[in-house]
Amino acid sequence: MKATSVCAEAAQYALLCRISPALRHQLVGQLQPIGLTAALADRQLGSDRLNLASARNSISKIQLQAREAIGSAIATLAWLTGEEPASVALKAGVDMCITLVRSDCEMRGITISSQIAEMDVAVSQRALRIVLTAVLIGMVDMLPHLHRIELRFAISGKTVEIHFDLHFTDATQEHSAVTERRPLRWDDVEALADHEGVEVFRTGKPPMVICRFDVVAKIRSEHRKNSLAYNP
Amino acid sequence: MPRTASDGSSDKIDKMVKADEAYKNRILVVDDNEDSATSLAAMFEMLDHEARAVFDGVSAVETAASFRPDVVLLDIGLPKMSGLAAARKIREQSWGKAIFLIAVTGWGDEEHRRQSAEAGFDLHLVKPVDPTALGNVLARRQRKLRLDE
Repeated sequence: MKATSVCAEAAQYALLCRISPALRHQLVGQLQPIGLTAALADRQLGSDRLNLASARNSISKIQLQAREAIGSAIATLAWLTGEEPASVALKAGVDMCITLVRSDCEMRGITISSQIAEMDVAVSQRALRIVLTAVLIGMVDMLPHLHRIELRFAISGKTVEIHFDLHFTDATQEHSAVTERRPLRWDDVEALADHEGVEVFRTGKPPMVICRFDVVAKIRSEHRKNSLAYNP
Repeated sequence: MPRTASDGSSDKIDKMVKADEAYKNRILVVDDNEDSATSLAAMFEMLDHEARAVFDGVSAVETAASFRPDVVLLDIGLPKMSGLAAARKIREQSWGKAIFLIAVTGWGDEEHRRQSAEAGFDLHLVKPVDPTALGNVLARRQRKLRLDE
């Protein structure tokens, strides 16, 4: 990893501020069921018509939910700590980034779809997370008439290109702007990409962003679902 | 702008209260986390309300059409159709105009509250939602219905 430039550091902080509500959303989404199921179990145990089987079922659920929440919390916190596997299968990594930003985008009237299929290539998890997420958020912040983002890919030798096709509504329909946090700018995206060793560029016709990532590993097909196992 | 959960906290209702027979609510709970939805629906049933749970936006609109709930607790980030789109669909229907629509979501910024108000929600609750706060909302609704009579 390169020494962090002031521009890259500023862009990292801006990105972190922009994704923090989404990280909170992911964490709470896993914790809320525990609270609700615990409240239900408490009510079941205190009921005049005590049904021990129902209460036991609720408590079993709480145990399962707690285990899942721990795993999910650790995965979510990896966005902050960087404690993550060095590489990730392309589709899994892209889906992870889309999942983080999708709900917020939908609230602004922007849909994100991906045509990226399962394949035997892995890229740097850190680079993918940072650059792909920055491009998605940056496009939303910079383009008020953006309506849909569609992701495609193309493999060329030892690199994989991710294409972000940008679709717009007419000029009268703007999606709601980010007002509570600093919007991401294109120079932020470029600084982050440069720092992570990813090529990124925009085209006007058709409107598109292209990111070029190095393929860092081929995944054994039997391990494709478990993106932690690689055949370097 | 939809009201927030803190609006009624001064009521200090310590426990979720059982429904009056005359003001029993039909409640539709919509959340893509099935445990959250079913637990909450089960809790409302224990309080003598009539409750159903569904797990995506399309089912929310379809079930609302047949179940005709008084209250819908709707998550925003849902598969198949977002909670905002589902709220708009419900509000477009003649039977959907009087429904008490509550957004239950992990998004709490002003922008998100404004989006939910524009979609037709009456109230915006930010997860984690305290079941007692929800009980307060229903109790207040019962009192309002009683006063309106």
